[in-house]
Amino acid sequence: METFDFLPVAGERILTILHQPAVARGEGVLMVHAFAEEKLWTGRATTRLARALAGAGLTVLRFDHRGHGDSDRDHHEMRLATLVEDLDAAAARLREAGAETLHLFGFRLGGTLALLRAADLGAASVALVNPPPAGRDYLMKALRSNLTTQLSLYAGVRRDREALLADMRDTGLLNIDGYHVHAELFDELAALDLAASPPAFAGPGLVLSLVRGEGAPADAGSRRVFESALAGHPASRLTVRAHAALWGEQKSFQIGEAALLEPIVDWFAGGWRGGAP
Amino acid sequence: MIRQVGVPAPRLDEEVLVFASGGHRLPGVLTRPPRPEPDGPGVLLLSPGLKHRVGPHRLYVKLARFFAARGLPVFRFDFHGTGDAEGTLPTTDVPELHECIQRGLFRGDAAAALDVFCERAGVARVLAGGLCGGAITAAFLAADDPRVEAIIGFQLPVKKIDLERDFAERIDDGFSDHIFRRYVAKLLRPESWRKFLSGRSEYGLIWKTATRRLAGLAGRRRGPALDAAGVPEGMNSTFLEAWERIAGRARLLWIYSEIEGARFDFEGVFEQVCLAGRDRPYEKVVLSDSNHEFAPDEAQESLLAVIDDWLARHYGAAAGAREAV
Repeated sequence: METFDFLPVAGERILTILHQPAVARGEGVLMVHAFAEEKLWTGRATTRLARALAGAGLTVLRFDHRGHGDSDRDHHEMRLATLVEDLDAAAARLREAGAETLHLFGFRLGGTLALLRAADLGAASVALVNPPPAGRDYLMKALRSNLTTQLSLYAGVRRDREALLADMRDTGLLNIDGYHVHAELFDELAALDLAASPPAFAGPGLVLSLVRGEGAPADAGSRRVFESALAGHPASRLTVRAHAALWGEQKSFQIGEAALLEPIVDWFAGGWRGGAP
Repeated sequence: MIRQVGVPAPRLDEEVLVFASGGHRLPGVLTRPPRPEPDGPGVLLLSPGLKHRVGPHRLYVKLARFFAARGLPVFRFDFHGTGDAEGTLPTTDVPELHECIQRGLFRGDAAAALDVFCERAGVARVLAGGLCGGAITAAFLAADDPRVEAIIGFQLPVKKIDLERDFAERIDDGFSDHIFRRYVAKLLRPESWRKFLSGRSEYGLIWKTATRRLAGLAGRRRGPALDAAGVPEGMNSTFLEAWERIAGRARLLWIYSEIEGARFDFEGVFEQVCLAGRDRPYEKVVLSDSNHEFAPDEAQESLLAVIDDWLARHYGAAAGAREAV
């Protein structure tokens, strides 16, 4: 059963979607979405993954951070504090729904955020898909889309990265794919560096690195997150699967192939305890 | 469009509605205006192509709150097989799916959504709007149901996607020339030559757009081929059927980006050939400095300004004068 609801958070609302399994077993997965346009592209795969997890007996909660999806606020009103507040409120809601054991899942930057909150929320395990280890690198790559848009509009770049960042200091806002990122959030995200400041979480974690071709090594970001934050736990895994980069536009509609769904479902269905993968 | 930094968004009266269509449960969000326009229409936003009810850069959320601030209730929802809806699509190949949408893949879902929206929001008249695939679905819905009295369509595609021909061959002459001019503009840039000499340029596209331009300069362009019924090759016949039922009945506002390929199809084929000698009962606005999704700041601001002006003229100055979101 899937239930859509608006959950009150600090006087505002976030959209939640609760997936309840036919037979619940007291374990739940909180899904933290990717950011900005990456959330749009991963949307259908996230829906399918939530249904697959519920089919495996897990209670699943998805939610939209304020400034994203159907939740309150504009994108530029989002801050790290609201991201944390939303995530914590959603975790509490999932526990209310019967999840005595809490797991966290996150796509891309949502994975990084989930990892940062896992210890405080008492998560039993985490599973992350291609999490960026450093916010500054992530933002600089995201800025490419602004440059690409300029190329298509003007056959050249009128405002390069440095100029865009200078504009942000003047106006307070930076346009990435049509989303307005506030300078304060930009600075907060840019300061995130899992290698320099490893998160407190000491439990098991799966990092799923989706790569273009069969036999390719894990992407550098996933490897760095795994080594700096999760490799110390014996049940942790760094898993590599060939799959389209579903957080960007592709020639096929990205609904989440088995290469994405199976490792995540296996992990939360018991792999996190250290059993055979 | 961009609210002053630090000013929080207004609290909204929004409700999730889950309804049935074709055996699938489809979720949508109904936004109720804080100060409803008496006897005003509702706004049904139809999702763009395969993207869900939120749209690129939350465009549909921005639009919903924009219309609500002008006193109009808004409903946006997920088509089956997309977003949070149930169901699966017939294929995962994006061009094939776009072709399916242009033949009416989501027509039934749109009709079911219209019923739910009218009932729950208490409206009898509806403006249907959408981007790209959403615009064409809006046209089908207007053709099917007289409650749809107006369409606000962004980047409306009027030609089918010819999967048998490559991109350079299926685009309109105007768009081909536009692309060629872009290549010419790059001639003075060293990085363009480096890319060209390193084997990373789209040589086929350069060659074909160049030869088409030369043919144009030599006066050897013949225009689109016509079938036995006089319809230009590649036109979407499903759209043309819908057009015959909405033209002159529904208020129509088409908004295109200047560099949008669909704009060249609309102007070069639909207007020049299909509507030759006929009325053009619509308003069309072309925005510069905009991509397909209206992502740049200027595009977002221009888009809402155009809609605001149109709403004020057709639905009363009071609606347009309301405080902007």
